[in-house]
Amino acid sequence: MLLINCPYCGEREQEEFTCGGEAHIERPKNPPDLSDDQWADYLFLRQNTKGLQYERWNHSFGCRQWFNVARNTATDEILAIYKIGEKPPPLESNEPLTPSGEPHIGSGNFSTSKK
Amino acid sequence: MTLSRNTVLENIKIEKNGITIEELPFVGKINLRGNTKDRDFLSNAGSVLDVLIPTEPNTIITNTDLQIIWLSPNEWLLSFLKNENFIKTFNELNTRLNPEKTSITDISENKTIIRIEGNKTTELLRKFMILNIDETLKDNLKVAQTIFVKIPILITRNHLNQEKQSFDIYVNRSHTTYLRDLLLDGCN
Ligand SMILES: [Zn+2]
Repeated sequence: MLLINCPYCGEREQEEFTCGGEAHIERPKNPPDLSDDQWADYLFLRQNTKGLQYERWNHSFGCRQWFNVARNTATDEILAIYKIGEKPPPLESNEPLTPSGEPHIGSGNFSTSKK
Repeated sequence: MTLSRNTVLENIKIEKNGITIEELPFVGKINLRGNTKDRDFLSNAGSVLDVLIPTEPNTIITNTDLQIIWLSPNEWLLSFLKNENFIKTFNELNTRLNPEKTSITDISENKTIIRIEGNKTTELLRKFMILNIDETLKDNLKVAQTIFVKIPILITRNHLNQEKQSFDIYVNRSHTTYLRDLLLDGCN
């Protein structure tokens, strides 16, 4: 279980929250001009990062507000929490390493596939 | 508009091992929404309610048994505990506030209120709740929206000192018997 620091209510248990998936995905400004592939990309395709990922969360059983969380998906460590509309804090420079040292995207899981 | 609705529980007050569980008779409730950056909203709502609405999260401001409960940065619950001005206030809010920028909804029948009292109430609640009660509800007039087992609830702290613990739990009418049964079980 994670303890998540809601920007409004303070620290609460994860059970009160809902994860809304990857954050900062902009809706295309010209949907009619997009090909099916581009539209599907916007709707369905996500980075699925192993390591630092920016996510949206909702305090669904509390204040019902949306906010952003920067989380290391490999270790579950929460690195930053910021409100909707705010720019993500600069974390790229010290992006957390995955415990096994594998790349963040598209690697599968080295430690399992070796077996 | 009449203010009457039966309580959910037949036996509205039960005592067990020093804990009292009581369903409060019908309480009028209004859900109020508006923008705190809108000065007209703040001052008009303030003058109708005779008190400024709370902007600090998880807090309550009271005015003669009317509780104004913070729900989110733009939403409040007005709970008319023992306060008979429900209809008057409801109408005044509708007259004074800009309907395009605010919402005023009578939600009196949405939830019922269970009051739990006794000096071991916190201990009892801890059996069912993941909320850090000592931290989030550390003073009187603090409020939290959270879950009780899996039930969504709103809980307010009424007491000043630990010797006379008292909490109000706002719960959906359909969950009330379940909540009461669990609490009674927890008293053993
Ligand atoms: Zn919250």
